[in-house]
Amino acid sequence: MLLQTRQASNAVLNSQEFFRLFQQLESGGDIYEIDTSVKALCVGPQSDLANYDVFFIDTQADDAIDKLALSVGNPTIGRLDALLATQFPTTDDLPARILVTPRDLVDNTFVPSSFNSVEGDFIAARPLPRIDLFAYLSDPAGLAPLRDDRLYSFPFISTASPADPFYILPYYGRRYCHIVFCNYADTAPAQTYTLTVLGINLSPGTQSSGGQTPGAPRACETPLATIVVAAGATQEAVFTLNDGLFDLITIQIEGTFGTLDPDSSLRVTVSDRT
Amino acid sequence: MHTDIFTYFTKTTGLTELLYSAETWVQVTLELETAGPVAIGTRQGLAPVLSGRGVLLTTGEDEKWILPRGDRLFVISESINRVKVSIQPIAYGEKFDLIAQIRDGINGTIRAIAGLRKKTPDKIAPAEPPCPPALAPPPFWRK
Repeated sequence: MLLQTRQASNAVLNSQEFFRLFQQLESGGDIYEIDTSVKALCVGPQSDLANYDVFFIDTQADDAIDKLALSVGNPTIGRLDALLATQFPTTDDLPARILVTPRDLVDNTFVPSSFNSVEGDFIAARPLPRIDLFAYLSDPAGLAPLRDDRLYSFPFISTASPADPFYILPYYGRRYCHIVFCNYADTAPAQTYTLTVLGINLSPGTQSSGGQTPGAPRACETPLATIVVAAGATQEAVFTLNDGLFDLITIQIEGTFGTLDPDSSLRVTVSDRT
Repeated sequence: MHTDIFTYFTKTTGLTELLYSAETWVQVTLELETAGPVAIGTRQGLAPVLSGRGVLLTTGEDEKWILPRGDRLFVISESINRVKVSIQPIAYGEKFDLIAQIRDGINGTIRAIAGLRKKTPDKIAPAEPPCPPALAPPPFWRK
């Protein structure tokens, strides 16, 4: 279990109206706890994940543990109890807190199939997905329906062909993506860049032979675009819900020369709005 | 006597705790600021919190009770919560109680007297109560 940096009980002691669980995920198996009762739960505006599972005590459920799904635009309103003097009827007799786990698959070690470590390909940026949940301690006045747009900005891009930088960005539940690449490498010899954009859907991995432990999540790669950007030019690409729903977006940047020219920039904006 | 206002943070033990012991007549106002569940009652055994032995506070709503001198208010919860507590003394609360007792006593006496009069018919003098035998006068032939 990850070291949780914030506790709901401290929010009560600090007379806050809500508890915000906001931190980076380490893995898809992370479990977070809310040790006070809440009146409403919703996905926060800066969450990179779109779907969560919430576990809480319900004596009418199997093993007295019930599960509900929490997703963007689908908050839970109503009292969920944390009964710390009551125990889940498991072998460990754990206190009955509210537990939250990501429902989206997360693989912070994923690399696309085109990644060639022999040629020197490297991960230039892999922002770890963040969990953002709002747990309201009193009746909320209103709930944010969608997440904020998120901008990933990478200035001073350079390549040393054949080593290509890869950018692996969270895209869970997003419905719009705008990519802009500005090629400022127009000093002779002028550099042409080729961007390869893939949409990635993760799925549970296969079990290891002879064992019961599942392997790492597998990936389904969907080609979205190949963008050629001449020296001194700017190109953009837009992907919407019609192009598919993905867990990750990967961008591979290939330069034509084996020279370093850190004068180009990449901006990626993802949004819940179509 | 003075007004006492404070925020009470419930404990997570699931055990009944004493919230207030009234030394004089007071009005206690409680408001739960968080989600709860928090139960309040005048009994020492309120556990478990959702058993119904106590009364669950509602988030954001005032609950008022008048406690006579000697009464106690207990609280129970299994998570940490904020409860706004206001204790206001009721001036002359004990004297009002004494006056009420005197009033009840007078009313009872009046009813008793009214009951005696109703048993006797109107315009007929009540009969002399019979003398007990020991007090009866001796016959005339005895001296």
